[in-house]
Amino acid sequence: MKKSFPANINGTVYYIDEDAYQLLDRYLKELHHTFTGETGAEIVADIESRISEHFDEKGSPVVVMADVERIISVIGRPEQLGEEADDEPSASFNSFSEPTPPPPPYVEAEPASAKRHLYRDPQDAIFAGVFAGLSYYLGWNVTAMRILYVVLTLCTYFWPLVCLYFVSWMLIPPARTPRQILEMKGEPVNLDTIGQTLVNGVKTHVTSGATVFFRSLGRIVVALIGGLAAIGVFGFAVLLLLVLVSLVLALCGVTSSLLTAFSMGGDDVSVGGMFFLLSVAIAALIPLVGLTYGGCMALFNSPAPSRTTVITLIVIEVIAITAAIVLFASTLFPSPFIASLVFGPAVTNMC
Amino acid sequence: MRKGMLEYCILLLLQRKDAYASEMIERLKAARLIVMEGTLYPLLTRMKNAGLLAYRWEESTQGPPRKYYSLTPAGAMFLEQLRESWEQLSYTIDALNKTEE
Repeated sequence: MKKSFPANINGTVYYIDEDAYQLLDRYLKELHHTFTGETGAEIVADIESRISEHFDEKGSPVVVMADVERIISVIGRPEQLGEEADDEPSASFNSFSEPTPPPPPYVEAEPASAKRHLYRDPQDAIFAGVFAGLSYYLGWNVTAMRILYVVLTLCTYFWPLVCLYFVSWMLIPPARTPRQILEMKGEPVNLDTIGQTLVNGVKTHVTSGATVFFRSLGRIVVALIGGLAAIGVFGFAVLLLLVLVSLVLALCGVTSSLLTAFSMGGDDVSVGGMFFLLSVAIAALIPLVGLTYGGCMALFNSPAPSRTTVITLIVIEVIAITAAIVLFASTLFPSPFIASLVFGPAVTNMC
Repeated sequence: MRKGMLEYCILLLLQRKDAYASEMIERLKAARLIVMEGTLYPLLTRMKNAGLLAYRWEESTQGPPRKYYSLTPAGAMFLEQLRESWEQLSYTIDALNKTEE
């Protein structure tokens, strides 16, 4: 027994089996991938209407896997059609009357994407799948690489290689679609292999015992690091805040003690000082939130934030730190211009 | 070369009567030309964008409306050019064939 559901193809409703639907969906996505832009969308729409005609010819409203496979073989796989689209329009035929250099000798074309691409493999991941992906790319054993990495990390006082890992995480894209998974594994991308990936990926993906072990270990390590770092950053931020606040107050000639400055609120603190405190607070808060969330991710399987979010936060962090430094420097070395620019006239008078 | 052939065939198909894509596929199949149905669609779109073909939507008795393609004047001119070069080629091949025999 199979689950089937209604699908609207080119304005007509068909009942389509789940596996057949997935294959068809992949096929259309691959076509969109092959034919891009406005022209491409038109081509795909035409092909989609052709598919619905094939379904109509069949006579029965239920579409099964075999129908989709047959139709795909009749219409052609995306990579076969893509070659057609890439050629220059009608150059071949016009050249009858003009002498042209002889075409290069026919060589057996290499399988379109047999070369490997570097992706992360989230399916076999411990943290982000950097090593699982690298092991496909380099053809090395993933467990050996992981052990080597842990040893090297401990040998190099921890941080350099940990940072390297995070950078790789940012830079290497994850293999999510079947096409990407095939490219990662260096297998040719065509509908047969995509279909297999779909079936295997969805139903029978087996995680090896070593991966499970490393994954649990990894979670604990991340949670520990995250917790420690969070406490550390928080403590450091509070300390920094206190030191800097007292410095600013001292430099601006406010004689009241730290305590009264806090209790009196922002009255005594200049506009520039407020901005400074704000940027320090932001600069301290972002890593804090990030690390706490990282800990939650490791412990409770929370979803990872998008790369855009991470990059945006990093940019804000850099801006906040820069702002804090500039503001602080301008307090240390008060030049009238910067001071009036940053702090406004009130403070220039005070200093 | 093969694709040039296919273009020529499409223009030939459309010179007398407008047609929609599936109709063309059937006639091409009857003439034993087409292998992969999908190759037709990129070609049609490209020829349309090159101004050789035009299309209009037409309601059909069954199912959704169909895209009927027709030759534009430019397409008709191009067809004449192709026909000339085809005849020249065909003459060459024939002549060479005869001398070989």
